[in-house]
Amino acid sequence: MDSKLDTSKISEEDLARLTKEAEQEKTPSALKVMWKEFRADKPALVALVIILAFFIFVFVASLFINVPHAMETNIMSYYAQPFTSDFWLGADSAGRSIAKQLIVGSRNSIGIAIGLTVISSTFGIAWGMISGYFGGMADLVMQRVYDFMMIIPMLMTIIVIVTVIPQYNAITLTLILSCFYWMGTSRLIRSRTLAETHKDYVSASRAFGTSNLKIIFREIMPNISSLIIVDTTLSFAENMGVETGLSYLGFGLPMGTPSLGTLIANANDPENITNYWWTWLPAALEIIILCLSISYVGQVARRTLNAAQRRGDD
Amino acid sequence: MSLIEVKDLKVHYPVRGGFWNRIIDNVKAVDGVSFSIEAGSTFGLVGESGSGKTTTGKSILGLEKMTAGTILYEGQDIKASGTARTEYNRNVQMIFQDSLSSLNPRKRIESIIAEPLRNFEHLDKEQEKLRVIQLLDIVGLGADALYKYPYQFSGGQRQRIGVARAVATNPKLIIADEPVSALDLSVQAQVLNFMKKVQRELGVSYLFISHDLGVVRHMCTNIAIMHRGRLVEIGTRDDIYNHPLHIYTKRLLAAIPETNVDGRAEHRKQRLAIEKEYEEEQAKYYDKDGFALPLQAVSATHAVALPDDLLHELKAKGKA
Repeated sequence: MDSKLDTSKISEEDLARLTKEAEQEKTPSALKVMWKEFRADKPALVALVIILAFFIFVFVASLFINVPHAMETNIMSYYAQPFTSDFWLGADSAGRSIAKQLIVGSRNSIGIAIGLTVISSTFGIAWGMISGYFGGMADLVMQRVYDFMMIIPMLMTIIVIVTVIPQYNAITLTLILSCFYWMGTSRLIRSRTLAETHKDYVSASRAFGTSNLKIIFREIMPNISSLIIVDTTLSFAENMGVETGLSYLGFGLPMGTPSLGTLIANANDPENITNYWWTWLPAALEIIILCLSISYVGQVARRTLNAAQRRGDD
Repeated sequence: MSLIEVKDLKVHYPVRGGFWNRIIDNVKAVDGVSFSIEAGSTFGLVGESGSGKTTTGKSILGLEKMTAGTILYEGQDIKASGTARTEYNRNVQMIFQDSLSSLNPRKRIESIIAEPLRNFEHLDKEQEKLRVIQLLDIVGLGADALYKYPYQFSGGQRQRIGVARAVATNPKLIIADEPVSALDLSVQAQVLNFMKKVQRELGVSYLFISHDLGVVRHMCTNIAIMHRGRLVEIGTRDDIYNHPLHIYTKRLLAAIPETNVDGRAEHRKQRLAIEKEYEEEQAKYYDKDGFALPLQAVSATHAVALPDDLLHELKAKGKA
């Protein structure tokens, strides 16, 4: 290649040795830093344990519950009292076990929230980054599509679609919701991408012949990763509320499928609020605890990616 | 044939306004600049801030869109697409002014330096690492830098990493956009000497963009002075420093600080005289819009944007 830069100057062993030495000097990886951050912030560690334990419990336990059987009406246990061996958390007006509904309902709601977050955030991030990076005509067209989506009355449209389509289950609901929840992310990401695109390292990458897609997703994306992680955790907490809210209104999951929203909808009845607290209180508490925990974890993730805010450095 | 030839390069930015957001004016950042760079030499582009030096450099690299003009690389027009363009991108690289923002803060030094290698050379992993270690060695950094991040280095070290990245693909021309203006004086010398060392070892040419006349004198064999988007004087180092003809060049040269304390009063007087001349004769040297006049050849190597009467006067003097 080039005689003046002779490759033979460094032998195989030297290369291995140099690499090893360099590895020792290596800056710690993001995962290690994140673990340090969790150890420095005890409430966040507790929150992480709560989330993980709860998710695992809910997903495993719901495998052992016969859902159609659990949702059968049973007049004999009409508003059964909680803390009995048959009904840990009592039963509702149809005599169905609240504990079983809570477990299966949590799985449904969390599953939809995860699916919705993954799909809508991925789409929103890609949309925002492409729009912000290319600018000009592409940006103009993509932002008009965004504007159009923003002026659609979201909740009304979702309710109409939900009532119109014939095949309707958790997956289709997730897809329908995803169509309407990517806009906020995309605008946020676009604004940061606009700022990053004009930095010198992007010019440098262009000058060194890197392709546009590589620049967007390998050069710019790591630099806005803190924003992406914070936004994704926050929108996950928010998305738990989306399905719950729809089910509360009666347009969420189909009848006979338990969800956190249908449980909270029990509170629509004044009699339930005053006399039968166990029908709605557990679900409400669960949502509050989960959403709080998620934002604690999100804060740690943000601190990991922003060296100036770190607490666990020493 | 020179390595690169820039002919009548223009970069205009539209100013939009009015009811229909029409183009109502143009900002002429670069307006008809021509020069050529020989293989293995260093060409200095000097001018005050906002004179269009950086825009010139970036449009040569293809980072700014040219409004008009041609750039010939080894006699070939670079607008020709396809393989010629890839070859050009590989052979023309850049060192940026701000060493921190030009290195991706989220990437390790290894992948930063390997970026042009991955795009152009397609080496296997071992070879690539070897090459990166060699490049670090050329600019005086050890292999322990491989897995660190840019913020862990000092300004001088970062700029040397920038130099290493620019020379990674053995380019023929490196555009150095004020490579040392953000560094303190001791580190400036260090980086400049590394650049000279790289030039000796690899035979690259530099387009050296700077406003620091001392540095330019140290580095460059040919120099062009730029003002308000146009060249006002172009020539060899001797032409510019010892026989400046344009009032703007004289003014720039007068601004170089003098360390001789005894001649302070004299130097000050001379500076004021040049400043006065500049104020009085400005109208003669620039057209009615405030742009420099077209270049006129004074000798084989020297061209100056002089008004016609002064040129004739000069030629008469030369013959006599």
